[in-house]
Amino acid sequence: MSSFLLPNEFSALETLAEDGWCLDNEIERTRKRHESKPEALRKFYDLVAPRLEEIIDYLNTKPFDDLAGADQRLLYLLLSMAEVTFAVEKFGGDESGYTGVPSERFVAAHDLPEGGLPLPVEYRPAPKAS
Amino acid sequence: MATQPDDLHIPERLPVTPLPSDLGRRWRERWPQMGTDPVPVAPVVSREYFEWERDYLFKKVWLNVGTADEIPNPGDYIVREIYCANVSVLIMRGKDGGIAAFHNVCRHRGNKLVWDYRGHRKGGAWACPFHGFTYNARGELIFVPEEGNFAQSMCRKVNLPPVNHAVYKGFIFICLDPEPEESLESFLGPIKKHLDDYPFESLPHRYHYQTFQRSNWKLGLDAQSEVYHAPYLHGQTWPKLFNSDERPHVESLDMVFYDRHRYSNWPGNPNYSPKDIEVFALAKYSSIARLGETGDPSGPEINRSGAPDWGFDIVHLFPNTNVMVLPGVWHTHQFWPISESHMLWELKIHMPKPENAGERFSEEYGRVLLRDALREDATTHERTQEALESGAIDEIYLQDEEAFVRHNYWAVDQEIRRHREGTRERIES
Repeated sequence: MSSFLLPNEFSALETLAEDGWCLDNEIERTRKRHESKPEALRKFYDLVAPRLEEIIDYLNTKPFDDLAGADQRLLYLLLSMAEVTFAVEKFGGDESGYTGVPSERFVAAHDLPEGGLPLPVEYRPAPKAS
Repeated sequence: MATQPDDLHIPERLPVTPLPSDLGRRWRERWPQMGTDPVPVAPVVSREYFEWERDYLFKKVWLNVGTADEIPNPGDYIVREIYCANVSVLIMRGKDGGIAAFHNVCRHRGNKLVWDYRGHRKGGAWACPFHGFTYNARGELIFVPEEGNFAQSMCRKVNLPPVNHAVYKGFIFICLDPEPEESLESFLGPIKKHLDDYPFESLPHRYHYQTFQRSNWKLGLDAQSEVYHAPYLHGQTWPKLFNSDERPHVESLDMVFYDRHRYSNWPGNPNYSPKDIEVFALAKYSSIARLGETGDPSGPEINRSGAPDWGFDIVHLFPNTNVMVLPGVWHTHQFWPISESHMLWELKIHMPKPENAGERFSEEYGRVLLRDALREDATTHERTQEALESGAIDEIYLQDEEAFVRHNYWAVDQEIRRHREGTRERIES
């Protein structure tokens, strides 16, 4: 009957699920974090932080290897919280001063179906100087 | 705002290993062979030097290309590209449970046989995407379309070229030299005792990162060889994770140089007090706490100093692999040269498989914390390469706590000298 994305107990977090934070892989979760404005990250954090133990206690009542549907989306939201926690607790949500390479360049190869990145064409060594 | 969990209240400060009286000169006095002079930058920018590294290191010595737990089941395979040597290696587990390694090239017209980097082949057979030549897990050609049209007898005669390989403690090594100068065990020598003293194979759960960088491979290795930079480059991402009020800088607990390989032992900050959500991620829900209940599984050659404030160890396998060892988690950094100014950096993290949502969250946060600090290192590799290529400086300066960096250049240089000049200096240990 429910058209909610998350378990009923967590309807207050439904807005985050609707915003597309329930992502099943790290590459997309990191991209979503970097595409989000500081206010959006802080809003996510402020909604999830007080419920963190409750989310984990709820999920721990279910068989962990068999989560599906709303429960699985809640787990994915929890994993997005790992990205958001870093952004908010280290940078107040505004990572404009962060000096690391873009996340697109430091790739979670475990999430790639091919298992790795191909050599960029421009990285091939130039022919040996004569 | 989340509250701090009550059961994590830490009543008193934990002990921090005091600084030694010979700080600042202990490693150069104990290992005088490496000298104290500034280190030339030519090995980072020179095409000729890269070609020596390619010919005398990467085409000669045993290279760690992965771990046995990456291919746990018969039919599992990985492909490793050794770019500087233009070699692609197919490594797979056969029906008998053994590991085999072949050049990833079809014997028909030389097409690359396997085009992805990881997978499973039911029955362990590969068909070349080009004309369907099919090989079994022993590298034998077992099927050729229209075989009778070839003047030669093909099946089980024209097989995949093998690559020398060997496994130590679950670490898979290859040697591109068709006639290796020495066995893997002889090559590893005394560094083996550090590999022996940690339960690498009982932590098989993995994550894998890759980044192609416009940087010499040694600059990446350098950054993963000292903690001098942590309070500065990672000041915002890792505030006081390793440095502390007692130790504003992070000085090593021990270092041992084994000629080509090396070992070092580093403190953490035992009084690091995460706040807010990080406290849940790093303390309350960590699977490392679960491991802790069974006691420390490490032997005396891990955390060799026995420091109570142990942070991590670095076991360096010459020429390009750092094995980072922590309580309950270990990872490898590998730096693969492509040219003098380009490389692939690979990170593989091994840890306990999470058993519940709390451990899964803890694992994810721990990985984000590591990954996003390493992305900061990645920027310095490229900026350093760019600046060194300007030619403005021809030497770099290293302090005593950067002895691992000094040894990186020393060990590569000695190996090249041995091949080019027939002589080299040695560190006996």
